[in-house]
Amino acid sequence: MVKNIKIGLETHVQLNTNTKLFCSCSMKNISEAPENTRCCPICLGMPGSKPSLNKAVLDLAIKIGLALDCKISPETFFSRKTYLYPDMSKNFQITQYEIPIAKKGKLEITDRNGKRKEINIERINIEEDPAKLHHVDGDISSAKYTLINYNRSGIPLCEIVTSPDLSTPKEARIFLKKLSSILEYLKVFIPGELSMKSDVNVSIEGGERIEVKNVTGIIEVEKVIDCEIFRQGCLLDDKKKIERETRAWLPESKTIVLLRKKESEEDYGYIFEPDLTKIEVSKEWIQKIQKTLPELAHQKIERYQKQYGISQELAFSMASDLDIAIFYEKCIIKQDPKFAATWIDLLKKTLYYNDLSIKETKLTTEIFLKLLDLVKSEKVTKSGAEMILRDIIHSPEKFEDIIKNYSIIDNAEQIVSDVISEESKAVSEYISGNQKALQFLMGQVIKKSNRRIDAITAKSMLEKKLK
Amino acid sequence: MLEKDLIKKLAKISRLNLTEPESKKFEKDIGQILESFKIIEKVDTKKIEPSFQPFEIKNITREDSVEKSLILEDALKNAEQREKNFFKGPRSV
Amino acid sequence: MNTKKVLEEAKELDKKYNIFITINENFDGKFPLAVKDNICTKDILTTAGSKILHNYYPVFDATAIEKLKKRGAGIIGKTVMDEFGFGTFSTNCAYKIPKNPHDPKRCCGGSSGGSAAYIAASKYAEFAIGQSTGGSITCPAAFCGVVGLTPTYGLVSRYGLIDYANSLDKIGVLAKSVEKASSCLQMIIGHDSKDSTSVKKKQGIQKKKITIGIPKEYFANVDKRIVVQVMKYVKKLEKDGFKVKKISLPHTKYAVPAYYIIALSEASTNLAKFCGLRYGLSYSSEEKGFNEYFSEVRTAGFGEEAKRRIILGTYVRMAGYRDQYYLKALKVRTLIIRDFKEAFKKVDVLIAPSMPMIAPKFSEIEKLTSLQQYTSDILTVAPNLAGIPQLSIPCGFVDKMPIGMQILGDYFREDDIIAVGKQVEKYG
Repeated sequence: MVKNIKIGLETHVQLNTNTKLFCSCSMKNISEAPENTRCCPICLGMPGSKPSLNKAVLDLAIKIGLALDCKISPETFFSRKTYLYPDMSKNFQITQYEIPIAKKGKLEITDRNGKRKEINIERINIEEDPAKLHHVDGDISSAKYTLINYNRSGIPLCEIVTSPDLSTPKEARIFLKKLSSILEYLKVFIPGELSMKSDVNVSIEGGERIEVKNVTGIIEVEKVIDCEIFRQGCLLDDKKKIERETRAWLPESKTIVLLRKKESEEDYGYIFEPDLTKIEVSKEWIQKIQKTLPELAHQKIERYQKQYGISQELAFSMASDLDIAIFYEKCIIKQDPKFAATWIDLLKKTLYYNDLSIKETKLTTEIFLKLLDLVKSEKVTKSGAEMILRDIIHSPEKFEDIIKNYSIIDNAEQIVSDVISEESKAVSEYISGNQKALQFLMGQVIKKSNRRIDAITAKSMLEKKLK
Repeated sequence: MLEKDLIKKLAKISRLNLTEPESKKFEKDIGQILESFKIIEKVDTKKIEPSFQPFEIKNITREDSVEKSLILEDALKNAEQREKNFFKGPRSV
Repeated sequence: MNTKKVLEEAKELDKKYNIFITINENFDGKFPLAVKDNICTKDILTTAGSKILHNYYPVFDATAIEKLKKRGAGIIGKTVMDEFGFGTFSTNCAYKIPKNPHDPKRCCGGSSGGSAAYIAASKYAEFAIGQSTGGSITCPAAFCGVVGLTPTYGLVSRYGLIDYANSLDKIGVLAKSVEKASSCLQMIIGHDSKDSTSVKKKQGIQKKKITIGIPKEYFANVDKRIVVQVMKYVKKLEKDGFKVKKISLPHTKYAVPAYYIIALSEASTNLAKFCGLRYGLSYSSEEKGFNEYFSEVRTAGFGEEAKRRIILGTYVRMAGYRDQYYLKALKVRTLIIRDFKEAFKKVDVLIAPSMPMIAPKFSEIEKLTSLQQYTSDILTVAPNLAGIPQLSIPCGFVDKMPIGMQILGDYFREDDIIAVGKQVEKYG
């Protein structure tokens, strides 16, 4: 069992702006644009061109910083990080090295058992995306040559850097899912259209940390961490030393390859970016952005308790997952908030148990509300509804069929009589005074009715008939 | 005088292949130049802020409005190494 | 203007003095404009004086060129220069080395040597475009006996100027007279949203009574004959009612190291982009790792001085050295700027020799070490670090070679230095 796993993420999120970070090339549907048609002298690094800072990027970065509870720097500027690589248009990246736009924030995650953990956000930087490389006749390390598409060059990124507070691959996944959800909610990021990539840092048992660069999405991150923990564990088992390295993930072959070792780590020789100016972030500016923030989780928790009278525990359950919160808020337009909260809490637990997020199911609020109506009008039993939930999270389109199997029946009397005649042994035991036999009979009734008779009804019907 | 390896290291970082005679010449030249630069150590700059620009220019940004990108042919115009609509480059490891 | 004659002359002068990297056969316009080859001209070869851009045809004009074209400029050609601006004498040229029209055995000064030589020798051209980082307009202006006007940093957009050092570069003018230099400057100044360091400042109203400061540090270690010539003109100005005061710029002796450290830090990052991709010199990139390929291209494409400066520039910003060199130099810069601020509280302009020597012979330059070449910039680097406007104007001859005096003003006080310059011109 591998001990002392430390995971840190540097997640790069492409931002939802009209134009790139330092030039006015359009970002609209950029992932679909034909290669090299969203370029200009600036993002191509043509000699003579100069960068020009897009104000909207600052706005979005401040927004993200506020949502992640960070301190916004009153003043910031950009630096040049110089290294020569085929995807760099200038062979230096304009980034925030000295003073990030925001720092010292946090994001709380909960696992499915409800255990809460605070993940520290060290800093949030603005930087530019490099170009996209296509490796021809091989992978990154064996290709004959590369073909380069500069559409991506200069796309604005927010780099969100955590402390190494994550301890398992699953925690990393939960963290990234929550982060993605928040960013989408803020409208600063559009999953599917814009990309989210992470550099993953993993160390075990107090050893050196390995960095795996450019892992796209969330599921891949979990896989990479799994792989790395295993690989490092094997090295330790073989009594080999883990050396500080930078690696790359190859998604096609699901392997991690070595890029470079510590000794050949680049010296970036940072200098102040002399083509750009210092930016002062005034309190007024921050307040203006603050006003555009949608209601965040902690605000919802408070409001739900006050406005809907639900318990703190339930309020937390509703609000801590933004997608659930949105689902809840939609449902309570037509349903009682307290009643809805209990059932959404159950929905949430069912989802977690099945390793699904509400988005991944195609369950709509319409269908869910239909189910709640059935429960309220006692057309299904409570336990029947629970079973229905388990099915509709996988196949919500089959809702009408599924509920047929569970709706309360009119031949309950008959089923109870049938069970009594079938289970004569248990019946005699009950009559002799064995309460456990009653439990057994109740179970049989529920089973035979396919949960279309609830426990209370089964009990009272049996007691009546066996008097 | 500079250590021999320093020039080689700097040349490597800068992606320059120096011949032996070039290395030796640079060692001498650069050694001399750096030696003469040391005079700035004598200046008292304890309470002095660095001037990244001749005078302070701040808060220059632009609006997030789209302008036309280059047409494909202009983007690729100066690239001798190209294949179809891509720029061509070496292996990235 | 007779374009045929202008073109013929350009070719003639080029044969004689090695002025152009490119002569524009399609040249047409209201007036001929020679442009230093590190300024982007659309569809006209722009090399920055380097082999690594031997095939670069920009798809855009520099903003300054756009403005000049709107006023009727016809680009006659792109002038020879030290590679990327790296030089004091225009002898670090990848293509050809320009010869001084006053004495072809001597250099033109650098790095805007070609533009200065063209103005000195041409019958038709009245001004040409150059660029200064550490003195590259003042020096060739002085050596070639023409006027050189380096504006305040940020007054002219740098968009389209191939960077040497971004916090130091300025596009400026070489011209036959102060009036011509001033007219050309008016055409190219103005805020440009594409250059974040370009300023919206309006130039001030010219002062009625201008006081002149003589910085003592700028007369030490200068050819005595040059000092005598410059002081002759200063005396004439004094006679004509200009007050003259002695001034000290105490941090002058730190200017050369501060300049080179800052300039080369920036330059070494600016030159990182030249690696055989997207534009410029390239080779087949198949079956090669990127380090190998980049090294191959850069080694072949850069000249010796460019390599030396890249290495130096990389060193002074490297972790472990960054504080004692890069950051220290930036602080020294603050002190140098302060020297000028203090001086301009007492006087309106400063006058000094432009260069400490007359244009050296090529044979003399060969004997100089790199360090000696760098220290030749002593009189121009400090004003360039400060970004103040500089006017270099011919003021006589020494050994039959022209010499120049430089008139320095406070930020955006071009009017003051032009006024004094016009007066000096009257003395012949």
